[in-house]
Amino acid sequence: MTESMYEISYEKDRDALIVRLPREVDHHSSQGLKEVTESYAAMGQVRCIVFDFARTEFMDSTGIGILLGRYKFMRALGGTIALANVSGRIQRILKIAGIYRIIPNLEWDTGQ
Amino acid sequence: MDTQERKKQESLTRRETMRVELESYSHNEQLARVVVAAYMTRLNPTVEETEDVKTAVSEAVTNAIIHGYGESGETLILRVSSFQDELQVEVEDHGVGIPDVEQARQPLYTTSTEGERSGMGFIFMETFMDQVEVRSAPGSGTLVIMKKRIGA
Repeated sequence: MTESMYEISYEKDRDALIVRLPREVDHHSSQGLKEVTESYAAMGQVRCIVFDFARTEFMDSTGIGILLGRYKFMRALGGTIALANVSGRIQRILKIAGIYRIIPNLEWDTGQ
Repeated sequence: MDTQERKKQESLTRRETMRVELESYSHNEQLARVVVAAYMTRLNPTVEETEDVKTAVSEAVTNAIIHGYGESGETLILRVSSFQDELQVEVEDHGVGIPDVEQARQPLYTTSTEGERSGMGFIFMETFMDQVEVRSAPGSGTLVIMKKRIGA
């Protein structure tokens, strides 16, 4: 178990920003996400933020707030967001919150 | 009734309570989830039941930390008990309190102004637990009592 499992990592891939979410997405672990995505968007071409859930085993409603907030932010810039590598538990949380009605579950090769 | 039989009866009707005090810092959200998950192993829960309870606890504790106290490091109390197959979790803060509990429990309601909170905390608590009671008064704090039957 490495330290990075508890931290968010960011990677720019062409016009996408890949946000690799930590093992547990809560109010604590997601601090700074808003500011970092905004600074990437300010620096250059970001048309899509891809949220990669490959490592994520737990998420509370904080994650829903993040996705909705980033969706509105990207829409205002003419872009969008997508979800990748969503597992069973996280899928259940997303369904309950009605996220799939607005955001596609994109199959994205995140190089892992 | 022999001794062994009496002991068995006692263990079924006894309410054991665990009380944990946490400082209202955001890193304790994870600790609160882990502590409750560890307590409830005695009820032999499924993975899904444990995840449901962890999610509900995370919501209540996050509310207490962010809204109740404003992440100021004051004490919040987590009380966990069980009676037969029912788990009860109480999250208590002595923070600002909620002026209108009915309104606060509405979907998408949030007092957060930065636009990053979903307003779904109470909805998640209600979805993942059988029963959620909220007692609050402005200036004196909030008590959330959640119950769930395990293995039901």
